[in-house]
Amino acid sequence: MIGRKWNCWVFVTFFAILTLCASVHAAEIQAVVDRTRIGPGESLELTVSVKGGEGTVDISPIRDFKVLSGGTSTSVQIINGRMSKEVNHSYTLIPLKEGRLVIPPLTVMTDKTPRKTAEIIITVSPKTQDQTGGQDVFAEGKISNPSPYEGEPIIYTFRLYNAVQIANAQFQKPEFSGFTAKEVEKSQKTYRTALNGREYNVTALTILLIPVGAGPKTIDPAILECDVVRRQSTRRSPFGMLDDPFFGQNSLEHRAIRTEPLSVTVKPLPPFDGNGQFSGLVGEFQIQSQVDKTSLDVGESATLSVTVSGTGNIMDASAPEIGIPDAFKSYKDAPQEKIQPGVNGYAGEKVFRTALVPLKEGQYTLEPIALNFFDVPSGRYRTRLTAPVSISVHPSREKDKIEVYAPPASEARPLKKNVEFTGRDILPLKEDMNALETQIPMTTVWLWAFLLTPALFCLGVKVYLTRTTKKDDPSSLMAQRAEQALKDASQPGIPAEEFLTCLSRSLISILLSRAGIKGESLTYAEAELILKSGGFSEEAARSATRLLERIDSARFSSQGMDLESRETLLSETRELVRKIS
Amino acid sequence: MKGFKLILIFFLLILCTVQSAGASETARTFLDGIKDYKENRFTESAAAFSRVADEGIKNGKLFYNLGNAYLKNGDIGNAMLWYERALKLLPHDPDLKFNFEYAVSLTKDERGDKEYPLVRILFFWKYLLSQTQTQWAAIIFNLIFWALMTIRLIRRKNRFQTIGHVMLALGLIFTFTAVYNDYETNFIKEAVILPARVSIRSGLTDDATELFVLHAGAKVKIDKEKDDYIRIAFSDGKIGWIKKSDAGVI
Repeated sequence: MIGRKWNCWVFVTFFAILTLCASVHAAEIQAVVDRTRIGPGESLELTVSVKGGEGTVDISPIRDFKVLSGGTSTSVQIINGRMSKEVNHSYTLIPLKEGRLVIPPLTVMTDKTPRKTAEIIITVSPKTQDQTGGQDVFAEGKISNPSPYEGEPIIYTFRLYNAVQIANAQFQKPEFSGFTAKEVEKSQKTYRTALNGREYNVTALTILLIPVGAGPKTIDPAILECDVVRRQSTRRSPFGMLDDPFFGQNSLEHRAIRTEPLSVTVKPLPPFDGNGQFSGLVGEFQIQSQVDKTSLDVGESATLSVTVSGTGNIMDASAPEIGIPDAFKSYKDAPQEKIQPGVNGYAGEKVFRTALVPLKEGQYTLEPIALNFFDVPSGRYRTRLTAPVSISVHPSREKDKIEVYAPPASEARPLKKNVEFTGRDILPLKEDMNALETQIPMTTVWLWAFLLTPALFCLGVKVYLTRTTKKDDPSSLMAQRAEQALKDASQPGIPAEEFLTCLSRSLISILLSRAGIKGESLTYAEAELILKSGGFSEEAARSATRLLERIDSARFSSQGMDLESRETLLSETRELVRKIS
Repeated sequence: MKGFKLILIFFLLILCTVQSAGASETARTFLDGIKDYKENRFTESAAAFSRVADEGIKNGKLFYNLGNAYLKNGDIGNAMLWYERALKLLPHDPDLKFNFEYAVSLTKDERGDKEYPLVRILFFWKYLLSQTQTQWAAIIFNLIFWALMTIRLIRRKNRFQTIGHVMLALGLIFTFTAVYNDYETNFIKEAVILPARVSIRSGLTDDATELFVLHAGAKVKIDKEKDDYIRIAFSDGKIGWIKKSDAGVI
């Protein structure tokens, strides 16, 4: 009884210890900020601590702030033999608006268990008339023109004001969506200025923007992360030397500074109603043309240079339309450009070169080349024209001297172009009355009837000829004799002399059958003649007589024949008999 | 006997009159179709040509006119159907080929029956000649070959060997082609999709799963028929069922 009670106590105690352990090891989470009241452009630090374990923090619910990750730190403590671990997730929050902003409860996943932090309220004081807002570090972004035309370059300037020393500055440019952006080279400058009676060090950066497409656009805030240097040593040392900042104990305060978002309304270009084609250029431009030779011979080349220069989106300039007389062949060269982004937009020139080769002598004039562009100050399209260029073409002096260099006559013709449809439609109806006649295709039965009839006719002729041929006809008689002799030669055990006689008889009989005469013997010449007159080729006739000769020579010589030679001779004779018959 | 002769003559006269009246009515409908077409009444024109075709007249020119009328009327499905039918009878008509290519350019689906250039080169005569021309070529080469064979038999002379071999080869090539063409005509059925958009389904009901979609003018092979539905094969193994009324058999 006592033993059972003891067991029960042990079980309860063990369970209590287990529960305690479990509660001790459950992770604790906490979210804290370094301050709850900030000014415009200032940032705050958010730290999410996970004690007694590890976890992942979901920061996606934060809407009122731009979140920059500050990294993760881990600390481990051992007190009285117990180990505790703490993981801190740090974030820099930059407010996106003024007023009462909320950091909502954040979900932290620890050991597959979601836990939530408490909600935190942050008050962002409104912007004061004072540009500095009483801050020792702040930044501003400005654009040169909030309502540019489509394609008109504008300048974005970022300025950082710092009244205190800063270090480790990291600048994050806005994305400039809806613009093409290019940083102006050597535009970064530093100067000092006084604002509200306080001296600031100013660092300025210039970026050139060209709006792509019309409509309202927003330039996102630029963000600058830096460490503000704070001096902690306030007590003066008895030794003046140690009051130098070099020996002071400074601390770094991490700050994230942002500019305000900027709104830009891009105006569309008015419809172009001038002559020719709009070049797509927006700004102020000039056009010039020049020919390196105004007097040349046929076949000699001259270079026409058209220079488009000015300020604006000049890099978009395309080759202008040039009215080249038909008497010239032209070869365009790749354009050369010297363009630099500057504080007034892109400026420079683009040169389009075309090689001109005259094909005929005469006096020619290159018509003025027009450049249509949009002039921003006047809000109108303008046209600039080049001066007309006269070119004198003289007959080729080398023509008579070296004919090989003269261009072929065909090349003098204008270049051929691929003919393309200029309109699409179908061809007209067929109005013939034979459209009412039924086109009956041949049926399968008729097709087979037409195909088989000639074959059947041929077969019929064969049968007819076989049946009508008289039995005492010399041809059939000799053919039968040839077959019989071949059969006799095939008999096993037949003596060699008799075998050869049968073969000879068979061949002679089939040749006589072909000639339609009865007989027993033939000369080689007669045999050859019979075959030739029967439509056989000379070669076939000669090989037949050669076989006959071989048989006869074997027959009349006393040499014996082996089995293989007999078989060869028999098969050759049989083949020839079949061929002749 | 005299009375019988008179009755026979009278009967023949009536028969001729009825036949010529029928022919003139068809011609008038055909001419009406042309007139409607020229006056941009394409629906009426297509209806007139259809009435002529319904009388059993099979003519490439008539089918071409029907294709034109439907195409002008904006009915690309029926236009393609009649152009395809016309191509069977007039495969080398330049007007037909031009209009057919134009109609093809208006269809939305890429053609399923892709032709391979190598096949076209290897079997060029199949694509060069119409079905009728191939049949007659086969018949003529066959006839020449057997005629030579018969002459050889009668004259018992080993002549015409080379020409005989050539005729045999040509006869065999064109005979096989003609037989294959005949098989294609009689056993491989093709159709053209008529409505602007048709869902090809997995089964024989309207609520069966939609497998893919074809548009007017798409050419398909008819694989199987069952009740009011046909199983069609498009390309790359795309098969499914559609209502018979949604496709016109070429």
